[in-house]
Amino acid sequence: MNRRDFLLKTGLFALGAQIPGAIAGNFATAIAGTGKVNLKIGYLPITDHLLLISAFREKFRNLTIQPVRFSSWPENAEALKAGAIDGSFLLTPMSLALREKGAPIKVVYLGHRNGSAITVKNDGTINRIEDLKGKTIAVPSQFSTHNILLRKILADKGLDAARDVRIIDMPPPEMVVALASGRIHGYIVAEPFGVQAEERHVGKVLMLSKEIWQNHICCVLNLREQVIRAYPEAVQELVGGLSRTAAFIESNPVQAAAESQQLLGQKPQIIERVLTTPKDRLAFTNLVPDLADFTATRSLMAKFGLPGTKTDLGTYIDSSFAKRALQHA
Amino acid sequence: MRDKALRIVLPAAAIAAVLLLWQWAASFYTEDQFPGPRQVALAIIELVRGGRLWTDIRISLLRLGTAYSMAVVTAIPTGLFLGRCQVCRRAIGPIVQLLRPISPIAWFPLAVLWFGIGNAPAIFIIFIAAFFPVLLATISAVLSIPESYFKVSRNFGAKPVQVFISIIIPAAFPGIMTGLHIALGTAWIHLVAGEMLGADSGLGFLIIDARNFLRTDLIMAGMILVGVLGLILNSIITLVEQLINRQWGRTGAPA
Amino acid sequence: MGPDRRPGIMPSLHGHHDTMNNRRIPKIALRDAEKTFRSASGQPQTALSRGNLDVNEGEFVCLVGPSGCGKSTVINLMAGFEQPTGGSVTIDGKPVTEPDPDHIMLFQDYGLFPWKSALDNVLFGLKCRGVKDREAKQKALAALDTVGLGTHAHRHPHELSGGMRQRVSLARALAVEPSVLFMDEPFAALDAFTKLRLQDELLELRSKRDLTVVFVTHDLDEAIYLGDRVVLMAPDPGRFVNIMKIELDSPRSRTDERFEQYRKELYEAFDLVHRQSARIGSSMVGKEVLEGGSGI
Repeated sequence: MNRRDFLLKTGLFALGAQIPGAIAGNFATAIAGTGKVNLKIGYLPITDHLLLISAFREKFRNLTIQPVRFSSWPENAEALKAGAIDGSFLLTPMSLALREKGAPIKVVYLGHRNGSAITVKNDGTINRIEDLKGKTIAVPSQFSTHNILLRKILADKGLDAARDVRIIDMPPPEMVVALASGRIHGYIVAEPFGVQAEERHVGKVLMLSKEIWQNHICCVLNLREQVIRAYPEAVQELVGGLSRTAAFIESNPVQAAAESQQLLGQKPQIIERVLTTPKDRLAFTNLVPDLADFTATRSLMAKFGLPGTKTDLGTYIDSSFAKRALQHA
Repeated sequence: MRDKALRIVLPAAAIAAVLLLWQWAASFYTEDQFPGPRQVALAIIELVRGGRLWTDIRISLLRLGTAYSMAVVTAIPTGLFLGRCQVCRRAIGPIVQLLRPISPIAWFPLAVLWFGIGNAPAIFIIFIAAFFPVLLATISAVLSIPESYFKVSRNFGAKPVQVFISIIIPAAFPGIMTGLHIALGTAWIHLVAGEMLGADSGLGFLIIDARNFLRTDLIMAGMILVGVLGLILNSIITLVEQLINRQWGRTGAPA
Repeated sequence: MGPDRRPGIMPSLHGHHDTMNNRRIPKIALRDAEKTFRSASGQPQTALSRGNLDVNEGEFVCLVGPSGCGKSTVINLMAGFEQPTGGSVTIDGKPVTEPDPDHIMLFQDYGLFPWKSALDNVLFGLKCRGVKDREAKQKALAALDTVGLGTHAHRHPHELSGGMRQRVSLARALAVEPSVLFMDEPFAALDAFTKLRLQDELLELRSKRDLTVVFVTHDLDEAIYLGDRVVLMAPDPGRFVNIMKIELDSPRSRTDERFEQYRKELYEAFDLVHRQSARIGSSMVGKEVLEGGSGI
């Protein structure tokens, strides 16, 4: 083998050896000297993910939280899939689909319950669910609880989601404008985009998600298995902090709304309205991940033909951290 | 004989090398994260069998054709005019240079506002993407016309219309053609981007749809199809360019 | 010094309808013609300073001089591509305000349209004059024949050599039968042998036609060989310095003794200019009327 061949082969080998490191490299960087680990947690600027204000509220010993904002669900999911973030608040159906395809993630905490709304044009033409016939409705993703909820209520009212309504995907931040310009007639998505439409007088809330399925789960906190294995104390502290924050939001919605601006970029009055009018529009109670919630979601997914229904829920759900947090509360 | 063989063998070998490299790189990831050539090939077959593909391609090409034609038809006359009128250039020049660097994609919200939803915003984006290269190439081509051509035409007493048809257009043609060539490539790229934003059909939408379903293999299949079509379009316009040059006896350097 | 000058009589400008005095009326006349402009830095520059010159009908006049002497300015003023800032430039007694198809200019870069064939290039001129298709084609082919390019009518400029291209230019000019030909260093871009050939061809063509020719060149030999009169110019400011009448047998011979003599005179005159412009503040020649001597 001459010198050039040798260099080429060593070069390729060295390059190849870098790649696994590159993949792992994005994972949970230990902050030198402090003994703390930095966890990147993905989220969207929706009130469902309000728990992440714990990043600013809590003084953790073992970790720091770095919220990573995304403007669409696919981006969020891709980042988690690629290992670019350590965890993410992700829609339940999406999480199950990822898990089924082999992404090494587990759910350790719920993000919230309820918290979404069907918002429609306020020109007076749509006043009941039945009026949605022949209209275009946006959902944030096929793999969203919103999609499932929409189809559920349509089915309940005797409409065929495939024939009577046109359902399209759209990133949540674009929905209000799309409603105003007439591109869609309505959307179902997490707050604050329902209230925002009302504030701007371009839409009205037709129905709250809690009216479709009381106390439904929606977004859940997924963490990569590697992180859980490597930093169990940090994960425990994280869940404990989220649990405290949940209690805080429930008891001090006004102050929580004020603190939300840094995370969500919305005016505090809007967030306040979401948290209080009416009560339980968005709830942060009972956030221990439970088999029953997931099974119910999964059966609806199956009913509406979504993939992700073959996940083994037993190995996917890890409620140990949440339960321990409750004990020490 | 040997030349012909090389012309096929060399690119084929390069493509094979790329496929191998891809296969090797993909082996470091799961199939869901970074699919290899085989998965993507299967995805392509899935698209072809699915029945939607031809409709999507047809719609994308239709949008491209409409917008590109509109751009060419407006940019060339404007460019010819601006090329000959210095005063106009001084007046409008800064505005053109201000608008040009703005990414066509950024126009999208305004496009939706002005033209509503549907094909119009995507067509508008492609129009903008194609308009400026053609305009600027035309102006530049007109400005490069040797002054002696105009001296000759003045000397022989040619009328302005004659000068325009007999001299300006043929003299500027090579430069304009280059602009048309570049603009086609730019237009195609922006078509796909534009369709990713607000369409519900076309190749761009196909890719976005695949993304919403978290199907990386379909995304890559879409990417490859977009690339192949872009290649075909480029070959067509190169052929047209060569045909016209031959027609106008321009296979050598100008006198 | 040898330039043959006839001081005194100024040709009448007003008598151009007088057929008896026809020969006295110059075809082209410069009267105190001046061309000044502002350079890029804002300095006033004088390309031509109070120039006076007559060119008679049928004459072949060569303008020679170093760069900056104004010879290109003079020919452009005559052809109408530029306007004088002072004085007058007239052809056939009328002021020249714009280019005219009766006075065709040939350029150093040939000015041929590369996308047109030789025939189409020649046709261009004819079409501009409104000549109808069939007649135009006949005339064009005839013109190309005259310059010896009849068989190359369908070639494009890039397929022709430099000398051939200039011939096409010539054919294009001759096809519209102008009374004046302006030639601005037309052979400067050609190699020595082609240049000599084309000079001979030019003389041959001209001998068969009534043509007034003004020919700009920096080649002193070329000027003597071609011209009936050679006008020497000098720069800073651009001005006429000297006129030499050339009397050589026709057809001309470059090895003629008298050719040598003219050469010597011209070089000496040029030398003088050269040396004098090296002297600061010198003005060699006053503003004299330089007139043509043919016919008187």
